[in-house]
Amino acid sequence: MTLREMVIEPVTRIEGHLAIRVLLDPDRRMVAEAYTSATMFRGFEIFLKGRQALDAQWIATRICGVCSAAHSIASAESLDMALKVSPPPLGILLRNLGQEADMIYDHTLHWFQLAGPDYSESVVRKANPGWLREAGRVKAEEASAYGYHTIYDIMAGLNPLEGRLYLKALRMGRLAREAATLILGKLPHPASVVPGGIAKNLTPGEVSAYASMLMHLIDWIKEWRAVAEDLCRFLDEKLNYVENGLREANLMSYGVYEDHEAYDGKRENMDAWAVKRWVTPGVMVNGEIKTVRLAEVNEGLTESIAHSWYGDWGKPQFSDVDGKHPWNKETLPAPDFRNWDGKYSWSTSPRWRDVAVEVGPLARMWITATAGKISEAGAGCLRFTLPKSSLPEVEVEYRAPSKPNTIERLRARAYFAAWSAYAALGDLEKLLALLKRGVRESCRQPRPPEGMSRGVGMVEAPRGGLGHWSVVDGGKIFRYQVITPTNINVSPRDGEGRPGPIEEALKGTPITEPGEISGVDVVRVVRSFDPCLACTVHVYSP
Amino acid sequence: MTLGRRSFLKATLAAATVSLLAGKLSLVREAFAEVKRGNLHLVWLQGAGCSGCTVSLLNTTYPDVVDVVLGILPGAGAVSIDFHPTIMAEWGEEALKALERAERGLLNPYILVVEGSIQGEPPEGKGFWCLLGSETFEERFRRLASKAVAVVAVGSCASYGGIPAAKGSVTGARGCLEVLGREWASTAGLPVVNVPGCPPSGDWFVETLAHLILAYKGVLPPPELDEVNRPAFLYRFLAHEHCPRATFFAESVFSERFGEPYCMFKLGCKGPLARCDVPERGWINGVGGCPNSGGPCIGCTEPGFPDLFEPFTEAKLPQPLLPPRLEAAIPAARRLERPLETPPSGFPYFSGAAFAAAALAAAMAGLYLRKRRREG
Repeated sequence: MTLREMVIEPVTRIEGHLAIRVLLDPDRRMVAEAYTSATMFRGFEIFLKGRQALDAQWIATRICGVCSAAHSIASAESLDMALKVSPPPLGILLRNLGQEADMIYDHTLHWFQLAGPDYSESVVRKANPGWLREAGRVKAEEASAYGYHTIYDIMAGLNPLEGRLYLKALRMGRLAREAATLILGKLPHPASVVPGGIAKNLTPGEVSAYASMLMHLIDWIKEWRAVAEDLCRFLDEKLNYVENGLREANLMSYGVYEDHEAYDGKRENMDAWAVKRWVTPGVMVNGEIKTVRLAEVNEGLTESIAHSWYGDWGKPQFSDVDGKHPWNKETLPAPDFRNWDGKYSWSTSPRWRDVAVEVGPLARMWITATAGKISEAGAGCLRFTLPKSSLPEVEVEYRAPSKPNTIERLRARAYFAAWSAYAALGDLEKLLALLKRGVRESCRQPRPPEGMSRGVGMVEAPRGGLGHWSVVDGGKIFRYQVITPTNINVSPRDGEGRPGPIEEALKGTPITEPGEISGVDVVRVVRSFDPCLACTVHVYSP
Repeated sequence: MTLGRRSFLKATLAAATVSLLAGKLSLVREAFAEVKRGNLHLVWLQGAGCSGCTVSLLNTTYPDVVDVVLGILPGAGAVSIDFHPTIMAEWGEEALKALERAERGLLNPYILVVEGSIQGEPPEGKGFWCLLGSETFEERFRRLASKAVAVVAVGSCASYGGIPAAKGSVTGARGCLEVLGREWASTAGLPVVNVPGCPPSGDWFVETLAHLILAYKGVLPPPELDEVNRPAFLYRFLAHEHCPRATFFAESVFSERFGEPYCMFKLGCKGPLARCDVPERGWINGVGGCPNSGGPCIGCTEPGFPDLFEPFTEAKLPQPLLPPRLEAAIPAARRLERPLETPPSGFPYFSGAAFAAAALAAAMAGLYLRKRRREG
């Protein structure tokens, strides 16, 4: 058996710089081995050192221009803890509302501008022409209410820069950013999020503006969820595309969207406030929930640099966590040539108790539905209602699947946008209740403690768990470490040779292209993880 | 399909109230009418950046990106985006073919847009900081710049090095101007055009692009550029001069903590040093903006950002020194074929600081115009 090597570089329609190397088995027409290589290094951890702790949020948010709201809130939570300040309830709700709108924008862009084109009529016509005949015959059961009669109509709607869904998503993404901007001031890179709360104070007029934008977004989400459900069901039941991106149910969620009465930013209360989030934190190994305690999720994390261009950082400083935990880590870049058997990526290999866990909307939905910590969840189901907007009320039911694959990642992303909208409605109601009681305080002044203190902000960015670990000394940053969700998903092999989640998901993925292999199945797997996407103007071919 | 692309766009456009931005719209309309005669290509590279500038571009509203790229404005042609890593349909080698076409002169004319900074060689020449299709980013960038009709650095990273060039950085990150040099000129005789900001407003990019297209077609003179190669029509005034809270500054009513609605000078706002119209323009469709929503200006449009402006939250205006590498500022206009009028006020980079310092001194001396009781 001779394996055929294929290197895809650059992988486009994702955020940032990524190369993929796959070894294809031409006889069995499947991916035999896969390697993911992150090809850009900037070094935030290094240049954050020594800066004022209160400034860190404005620098750290600039790690990513796509999910900058999540970075600014993770950074602010990390500093809430390190600077020992508890944001007031109004400030917590405003942070949530900003992040919920941001999540809707981000998932919209991923679904329609980045991953969507791979399922569009124009790409499918080239790569899998057989699919189109089938698509024209299959009725769009749920999306017919929105004017899509067959799956073919949905695929045509996804056509880059021409399709109705593609174009609508561009504008809906902007509307969601507009709603987020109302609170965050600016997106990308929020201006108003600070440790201790948020500098923005909404006027009653702005509350109505946000609510009105949200209702328009809910209209959009109803259509999107129906389209997503029909397309995913088609890929699943009619095309049996289930082995694309398949891996074990090893998942991790940090949880997100705080409870405004529970969150106090204190490490000792971490489990209590985190479990009350709209999205439940937790780790699942082989389909079983191992923990829903955020403190345990945090303490179980380690980072390996065995296949990454970094040097060892030696003796750990804190003994209550592993030596390879981010609180102990130093970033020591050691650039070198790429060696697929040795060091081949700028990404490190984060693991939870030695397991390569996958993060993202699928992990969030699955763990929240299974853990049953909130009233809408139970027995692997999440049930909620999107109220009447200009479209009728819709009952939404999300069922956790049996195993993660590309289809389930796409499906969960659409449902998570719906869940975020539902959470935003709930938070808006709580916000109004506070305003009615005359509450105005959105921010508290942090007083940096004497000596050294530690903080962690673990929230969900659109593409999965995002952690900012800070060590503050005398009001200045002594150490700052970030593990992004893409860092986890695109991680290379670790010290024990265990592949990262995308590498695992690629292995065994069948090649469905009948003719020459362009790698469309491979990029579909990669994009289903939404590796830190950015956005879109789109390619126009005259 | 119940609603075709044409009718969808038409409906959306009809719903748009364009009168507010009529000036901008007509500029863009003319620009694209000009382009109709020949396709203009865009090649958009991403170096050490975060894709924030790309997202920001999507924030433009009237016209929005769909309008611009499809050329649906009356009488307009289309702009073709031949390479953009986050959006293009192709991947891998197929994607890189667009860059090869540009290098071989098959995408003539093209504007090279750069997002993110350009990193240097790692020590000992081993490995790389940033790759673009098995080549270092800098090699690609230099080759593509040599054939471009204009090079537009979008965002502070591509303009000056920005965040990846902050103190402590190990990657040798620089902006396009520094890599190519101040004397460098595009095939159309233009120097590097900077549209800084972290990220810049999407409108700024669209307006700059429109101006460049018109200049290339000979309809307008090339845009006037300031000392750091920013289009003067966008960066003439300070954030402070555009700020809706500036009246409180004049009245010496200051916010003491975040969340209060007054001038944020005491909270460290750098509006008196940074050239930016976002406080007046808003961020998306007139919504948001930094001081508008309680966030102090942190100077993101300026050379030296972020180091020069830290600590962000301390009421301290730094000596506004240009970093050494940008000190030999030659107004770009001097090198253009057609001499441009110097604007009456010039672009005194230091005026904002002087103004702020004077005003601060006045405030400190107790020359309050009016003292307001702060609401509880």
